[in-house]
Amino acid sequence: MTDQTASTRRAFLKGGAILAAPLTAATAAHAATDPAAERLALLEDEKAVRGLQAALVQRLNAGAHDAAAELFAEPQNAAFDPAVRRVTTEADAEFLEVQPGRTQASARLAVSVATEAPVEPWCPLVDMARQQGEGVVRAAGRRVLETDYVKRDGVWKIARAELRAV
Amino acid sequence: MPNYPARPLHRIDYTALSEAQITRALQATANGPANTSPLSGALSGQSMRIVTDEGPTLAYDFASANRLSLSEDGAGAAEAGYGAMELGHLLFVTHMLPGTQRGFNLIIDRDTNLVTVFEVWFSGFDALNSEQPWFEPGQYNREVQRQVWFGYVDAGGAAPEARHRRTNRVEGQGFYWKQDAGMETLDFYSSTFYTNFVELSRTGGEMGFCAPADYVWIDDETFVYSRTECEFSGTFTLYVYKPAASQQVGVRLGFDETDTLEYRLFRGEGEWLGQIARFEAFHDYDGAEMPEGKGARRVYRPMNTFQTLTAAEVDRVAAEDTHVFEPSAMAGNQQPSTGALAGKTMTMRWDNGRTVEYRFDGAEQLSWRPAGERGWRTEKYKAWEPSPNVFMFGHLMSGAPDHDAQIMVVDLDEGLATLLHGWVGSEYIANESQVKSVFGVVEMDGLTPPKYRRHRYTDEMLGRAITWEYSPGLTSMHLYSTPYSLSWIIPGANGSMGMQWSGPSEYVKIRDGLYLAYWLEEACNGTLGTLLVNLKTMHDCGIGLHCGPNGLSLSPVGAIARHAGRFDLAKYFPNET
Repeated sequence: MTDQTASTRRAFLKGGAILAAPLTAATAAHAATDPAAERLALLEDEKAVRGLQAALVQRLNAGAHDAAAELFAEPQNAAFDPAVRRVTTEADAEFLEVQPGRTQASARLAVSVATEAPVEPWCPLVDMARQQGEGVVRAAGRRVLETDYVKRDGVWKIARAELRAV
Repeated sequence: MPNYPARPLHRIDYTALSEAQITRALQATANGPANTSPLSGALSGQSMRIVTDEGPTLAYDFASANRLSLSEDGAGAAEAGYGAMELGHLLFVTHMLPGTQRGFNLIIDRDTNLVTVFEVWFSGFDALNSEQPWFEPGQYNREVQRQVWFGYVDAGGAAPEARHRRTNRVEGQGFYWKQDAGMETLDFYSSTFYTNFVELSRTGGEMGFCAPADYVWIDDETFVYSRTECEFSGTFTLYVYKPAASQQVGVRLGFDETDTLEYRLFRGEGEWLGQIARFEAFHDYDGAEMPEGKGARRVYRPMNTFQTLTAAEVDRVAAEDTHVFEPSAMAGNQQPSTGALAGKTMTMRWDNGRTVEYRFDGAEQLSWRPAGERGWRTEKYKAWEPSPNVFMFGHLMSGAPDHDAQIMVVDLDEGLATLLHGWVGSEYIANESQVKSVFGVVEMDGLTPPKYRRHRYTDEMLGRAITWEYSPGLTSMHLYSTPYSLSWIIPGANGSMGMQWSGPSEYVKIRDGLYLAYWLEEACNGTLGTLLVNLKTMHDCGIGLHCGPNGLSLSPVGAIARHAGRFDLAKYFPNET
């Protein structure tokens, strides 16, 4: 059973077998009650968390920071780096773990991030460049989108999200 | 004898002509353009239907060498005078439409039947700019608007697939042109949608000015150039030219500084000035994209965004908010400053009669006093040593009524010094910086300076183009297009050059490969920029003086350079050194 669960999990994570180990352990801890029901609930949690993660990326890329904040458990505390212009997921290195009790979860996702920050401080040449659509520092690089999740009243929300340097 | 104007183009207070004034003046165009060279009769008796992409269909009947009738998009025909001239296989045709403020200019390729149409009109500024925060209606009716249409002569049968097109192929090219009526210019195609032009005959060639431009590829031997003197008279110049033959045919349309209408079809002969570098990727020949909307173009209008202050406001912001050598985007790549002057004392003897004693108290603090005075005044300074024993340093003169700055280069091997004395306030704008260059010598222990020798103005920078990378994300290219002006150009993300502007400048040789220059952002942003260019290290150091709502600032300037080439301009400024 354990082998079967592990096998299913590996397939779901697209090759992330080693990273899947914590989830395998979590699943095993609850298998004693109703393994099938527990497994189904876990899959639904993972789906919800993954949906939140995708929504966060989508809203960040749209520049819809207010809408992105609504995904958080405490929207008023959500802060976004205005320099981030585009986040592209690289799903091969995905990690997702639902904690025992299924009220908390964590995820890590390898991403490419394109940033665009205005040149500071202001000066006349910067002003001229901005009128042309320039005067910004553009950069791109690999980062890890690190997220923590919390389930409140049966609904998953983002507790923390961070684009961490690799 | 040069024909210097009473005021340079950027200081003329151009009349805000009304639509009625323009309509009245344009009545003179009913018989076609003025001309010096003979008109072509090639179209006389011909009919021609021109189809443009997403633009008008123009059905012409050419009754003679100077009369035509035009039906636009099947509407009733209108009669007009016109003029045409030939340039090899090309026909250039220009006409206005009587009773309107509109006209068409046609570049017809008789080999391919392809056509480029420049539709032009007056009083179109308001419609294009009404959403700008600085917009005031009726101010720029005199500015000629244009829309470029690409199409073909409908000779029956299937429409050709090929078209003329916008191009960057001529970016970096420069030409001297002499039109048949005597007008001489240096035209630099230094951007993909801007140009620098020097009017040798009309304004004495002191200054290069900048204007939005169009560049069109006809074939590999033929190109089209247009410019509109936005922010100045609004005059439109359009020509088709052949670089190899150095020949042009074109038109000028607009109102000059006396509000006199110029509508002239011309032919010209030129000389190639050279080619500077392009920075796009290899195989990128695309022209600049224009904003959406008929007539839309990207125009730098610095006086509409520059926040001018009164003299009282200048004094107030300087008293409340003065910034001396704080971090600047213009100095992200500056070379390290030096403390090598600390502990030294020296006396500057300037040729304007002033003598100033300096005591360098530390790496960033100096004291100065006019010779003969007892009290020292203390200022923050920065110094750089771009070449052994050559120092550039500068400081504000605290309490000076014009918020003066002293920016100087001293050669402690040769005993020579050059001062750029900057201050805030011109006769036009209270927070516009001005500058005066003063040569002189430096005396100090163990150094006896020359009696007669001085640094000298030089033309060794004339015609050069140098890119300056100030900070990540902030780069410009300088073009030194005359001995007395400097132009700066903003590159786009793909390396193509874009918006461009210019200001008065001077160039002083300090040593071989080491040149002091300044630029003044007159009728622009009011900044005085200074730079000491080291061609051996491709680096510079410099100091900027600026006053705006956020205060008075004396700021470092420093950038890494690339040499982008040089135009050969010496023969057009024969009296320079």
